[in-house]
Amino acid sequence: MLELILEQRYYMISIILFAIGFVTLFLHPNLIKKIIGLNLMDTSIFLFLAAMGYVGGGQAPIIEEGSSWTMYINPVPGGLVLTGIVVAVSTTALFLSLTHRLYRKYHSLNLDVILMLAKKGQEDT
Amino acid sequence: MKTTQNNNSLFRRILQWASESEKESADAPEDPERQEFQEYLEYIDAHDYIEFGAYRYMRYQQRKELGLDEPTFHHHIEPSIPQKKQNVKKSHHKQGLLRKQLGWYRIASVFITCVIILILCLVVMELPKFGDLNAPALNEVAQRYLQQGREETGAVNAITGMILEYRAFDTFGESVVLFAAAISTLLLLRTPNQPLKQRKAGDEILTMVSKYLLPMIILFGCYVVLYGHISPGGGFSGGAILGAALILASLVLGAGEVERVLTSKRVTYITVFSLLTYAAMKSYSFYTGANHVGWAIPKGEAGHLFSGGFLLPLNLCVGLIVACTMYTFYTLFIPTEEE
Repeated sequence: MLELILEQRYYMISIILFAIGFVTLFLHPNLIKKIIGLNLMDTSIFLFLAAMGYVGGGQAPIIEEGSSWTMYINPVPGGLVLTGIVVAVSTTALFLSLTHRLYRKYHSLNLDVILMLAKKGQEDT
Repeated sequence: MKTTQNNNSLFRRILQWASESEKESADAPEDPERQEFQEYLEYIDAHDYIEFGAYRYMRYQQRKELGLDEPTFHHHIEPSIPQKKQNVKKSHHKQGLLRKQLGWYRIASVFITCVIILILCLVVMELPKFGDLNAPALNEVAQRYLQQGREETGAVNAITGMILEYRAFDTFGESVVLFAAAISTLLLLRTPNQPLKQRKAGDEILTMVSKYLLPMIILFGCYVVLYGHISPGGGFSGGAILGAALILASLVLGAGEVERVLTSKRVTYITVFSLLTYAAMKSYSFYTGANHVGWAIPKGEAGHLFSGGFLLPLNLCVGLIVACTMYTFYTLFIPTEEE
């Protein structure tokens, strides 16, 4: 059992990272910290994909002429991670700008406070 | 007192200030700000999760209702919520059912996370071993990219050949996603015709070091973009380096130095031009059959700078898009004069 866990340690670490991000997303009322949690989850997925693409004894897929290496890692997860990073950057920027707008309106980053004030505003109008 | 436990340094300073003034002015007239602060402390004692800014906002509304002194509120933004004086405590307790009772929400979320971890761990045990040669992910697609990519695309770097030749349409979509994010951020945050806040140029040592470092960072970024099809790198990573160099220059050289050359309009023009060039080149490639039939551009010898057909200009376009978008994201979060 322990041997299996050690063998799959990259997957395990990515799951732990994912869980940390998930808990942060749930438990922190601060919106910036929620975004950090989401980014942690993104990073864990990238680690998982990169680990999936590894081939034992493989080299980075730079195919030089006349090199003695014949084993290369799988290039497909590399492309997937590239796409994921770009999407993560885009969503983070969008979330941060939305948070900025919320802060300008309610002067707080706390989600509970924002919801409270928004509900109050709805009741009054 | 969740808020006071993980307080920042500013909050600690305010606390110190409050305790000091208590010692000094035992019989002095009551300081209204300090009184407010003490009220705030009592308030956060009674309620979890409340911030100073939100508290100030509520106090401001209350004072305005009572017609007291002109509020000294930091932000010159019209309060958008019409409010009456009311018991905040009451509405606080109207929150969700889970959160009301002894933090069931926290327990439930930790429990759900534990369950998810358990399920994922069980799945991972069933996955093929790390680095397994016979993993199903290493199928004929990956093998073809590795074995024939060099001849078919003229790229030494198999990943660049894959994302810019075989899967070029997806990469175009990726660039469009980046562009859409930049545009929507622009729409959300732009405050038109507002001068940037005058910032002093940074520390002397930092400025000197950065001035010598900046050309090298830009050179390295250009290298990573241009040699993306030969060595590790490519448009995305090189563009990120170039964008970081632009952000560093904007931080170090003081207010508006970079903004004067790279206005937001020009940055948008560059991005749109790169996207259109990318689309045009790839349209040509698809128009000619997408399998190199009637290919007008010679592929050249793999391993040289000018090789691989359209790979070099495509990398250049992607690099420009990424660099400009990173820089746009940064400029939108610079404080303007009003804030």
